[in-house]
Amino acid sequence: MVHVPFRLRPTFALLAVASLLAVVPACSKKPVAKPPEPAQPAPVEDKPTQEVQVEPKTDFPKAEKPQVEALPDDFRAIAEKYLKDVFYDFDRYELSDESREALAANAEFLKKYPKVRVTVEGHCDERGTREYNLALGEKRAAAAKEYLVALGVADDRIAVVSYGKERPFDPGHDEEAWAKNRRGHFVVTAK
Amino acid sequence: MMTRKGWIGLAAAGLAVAAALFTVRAGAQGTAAPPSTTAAPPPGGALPDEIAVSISRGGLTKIAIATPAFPVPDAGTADPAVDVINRTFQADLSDSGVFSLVDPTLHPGLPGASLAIDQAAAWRNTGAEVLVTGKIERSGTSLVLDARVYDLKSAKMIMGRRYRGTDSWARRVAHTLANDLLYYFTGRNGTFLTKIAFVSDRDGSKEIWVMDSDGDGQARLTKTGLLALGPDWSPDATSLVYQHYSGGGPRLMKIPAGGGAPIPLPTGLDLNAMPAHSPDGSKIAFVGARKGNSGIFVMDSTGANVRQLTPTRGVESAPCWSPTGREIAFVSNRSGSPQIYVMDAEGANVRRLTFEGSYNDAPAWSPDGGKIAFTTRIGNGFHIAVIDLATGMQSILTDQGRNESPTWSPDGLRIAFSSTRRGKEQVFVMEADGTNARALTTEGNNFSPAWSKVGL
Repeated sequence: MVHVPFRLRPTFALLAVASLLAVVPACSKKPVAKPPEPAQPAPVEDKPTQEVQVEPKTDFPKAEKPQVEALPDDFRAIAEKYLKDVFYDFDRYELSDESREALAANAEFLKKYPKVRVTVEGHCDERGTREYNLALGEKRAAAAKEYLVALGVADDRIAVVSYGKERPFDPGHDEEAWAKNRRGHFVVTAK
Repeated sequence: MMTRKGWIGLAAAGLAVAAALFTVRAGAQGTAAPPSTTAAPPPGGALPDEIAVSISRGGLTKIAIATPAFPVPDAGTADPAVDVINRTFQADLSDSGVFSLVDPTLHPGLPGASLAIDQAAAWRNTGAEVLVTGKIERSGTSLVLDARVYDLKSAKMIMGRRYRGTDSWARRVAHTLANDLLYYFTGRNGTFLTKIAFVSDRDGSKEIWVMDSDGDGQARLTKTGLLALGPDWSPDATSLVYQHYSGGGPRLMKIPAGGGAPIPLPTGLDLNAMPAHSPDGSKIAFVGARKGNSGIFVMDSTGANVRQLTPTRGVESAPCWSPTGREIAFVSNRSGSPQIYVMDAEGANVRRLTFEGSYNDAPAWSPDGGKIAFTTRIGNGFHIAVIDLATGMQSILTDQGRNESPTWSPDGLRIAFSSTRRGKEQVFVMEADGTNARALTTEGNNFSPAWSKVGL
C-alpha cells in the first residue's frame, strides 16, 4: 500500500487517471479517431495485398517466342526456299489474288528475318517490243514491292530492277513458256 | 590558123584544166562542201540533161552506172587490196539505192587516158549513163587510186579524184569514192563511212557491238558480262551512251566509240533506259523510273540537271528527238495501249500521233523531219511502219518475220532494223521504201541497231 499524504490525494488521483488515459490507447486495437485537421488530408492506410487469379479459366494457346532457324549461307538457296515469285497477265502489271498471297508469305519471311534484303526483278514474255517491255517490267517489279511495303516491310530493304524481256526463264515460244516469263522474281542480296 | 592537132591539144588541155584533182588522205570524207538541198544543182556543175535524177518521196529514179573493176597495178600479180576496193565500191553503189550497176558481162574494153567518142558510145550501149574507171598505183605500202567519172552522152569527164591510203585502208578508199559520187549526184553526204551500233549475244552475254554500215568489221565494245542494251551515238559519233546492268537497276554509261572504260552517268533513279542524244549533243533524253512510275526524263549530256518531262503514272518509253531538237516523240500507254506521242522538248504540248493499230512503239524520226518510222503490231507479228507527219498517211515496210527498232541512215535513204525472218534476230537494212532488205549480221542474236549520224 502506497502511503500518499492526505493533502496530495486529489493531485495523485488526477495523475493516475491521466497516466491511465495515456496508457489506454497503446493497449487498445481500435484506431484512435484523431480530430480532423483542416490543413492536411487524412493519411490512408495501406490496404492488404489481395491475391488475384490471373490464369484464364479456359486454355488459350500460348504465344511462344518463334524459333528462328538459321538461314542457309547461299543467297540463291534462301530465295528458292523462302521467297515465292509472282506472275502477271499479258501486258498487265496488276497483282492477282494468287500474287497477293505469295507476297504475303514473302512479307512474313522478311519480317521474321529483318536483316534480309531483296531485289524484285520485273520480267516480260517475248511478245511485246524490247523497249516497251523494259518499262512494263519496271511496273511489275514496283507493284510487287509496293504491296510488300504496305504489309510492313521496310522500303529500303527492297530494290527493283527491270529486265524487260531480255532474261527469260523459259526459252520456249508457247503460252506455257510465256506465262512463266511474265514474272516478278525475288533475289536475295543480303542476310 | 589552127591545125587539127592544135584543136585536139587545146581540147585536151581544156579537159585537164576542167578536171579537178584532189588528193584525199585516208580517213577524210572527201570534199568538204556542205550538202545542198535536192532542188539545187549538184556542186560538180549542171548535169547534162540526159541524166535525170528525181529524188521524190517513195522512190528514186536510179542512175545507170558502169563500174568496171579497177585493174591491179601489176598485171598478172594478184592484189587483195585492189579486190577489196573493187568489191567494197561496187557494193556501196548498188546498196545506195541511187545507182543501178550495169551488168559487168556487157562491159566493153577499158578506155585509156581519156574517153574517145566511139568508146563512150560502146559503154552507152550497155545501158549506162555514167562510167567510173581509173587506175591504182602502188608506192611502197601505200596505194593511190586515180578515179575518173565520165558522162557517157557527152564523153566528158565530170569528176576526177585521187585517193591515197595503205592496204588496211582499202575499204575506206572505196567508201570515200562512193561518198563523193553520191554527193556529186544527189547533193547529200554519203553514208558509206557511217557505223551501226547494236546489241549482240554471240559471245554469251548481251553486249554493245559496232560495225560498218555495210556490216563489215563487227567488233564488241562493252564487257559487262551481264547485260547492256539500247546504244545511242553522240551526234559527232565519238561516243555512245547505253544502258548497263550490273546487278542493280540499269545505269546509263558513256563509252568512247573506239572502246575503253565506260563512265557512269548517275541519275539517282531506279531505272535508266533507252538513252537518246539531242541533235546538238547537249542533252540526253531517257526513260527513268522512280518507285515504279516510268517517265521520260532529260539531263545534260554530262549527267547534270536530271528532270522529268512526263508526269503521268502510266508506262512511258522510247524517247526520240526531232532533227531540230525542238520536239520529242515517245511511247505512252495513257490511252490504254502503247501509242506514239509527240511533245515539245520541255514536255509541254503533248499530242497523240498514232491512232491505227493496238500497239505502236520505238519511234525513229527521219533526218529530214518529215516522217517517223516505228514498230507496229499487226495480228501477232511486228512490222516497221512509217507515218508521214504532214498527211498522217501510214505505210508498212516489212511483211515477213518479226521486225522492230527502226533507225534511219543519216541521209534518210535507208532504215536498219532487227528481224527474225531468217530464224534468229538479225540486224537488217532496207531502202526507205521497204525494198531490198538484206541482213548485216548472221551470228547469234543481234538487235537494237543505232545508225551514227556522221561517218567515222
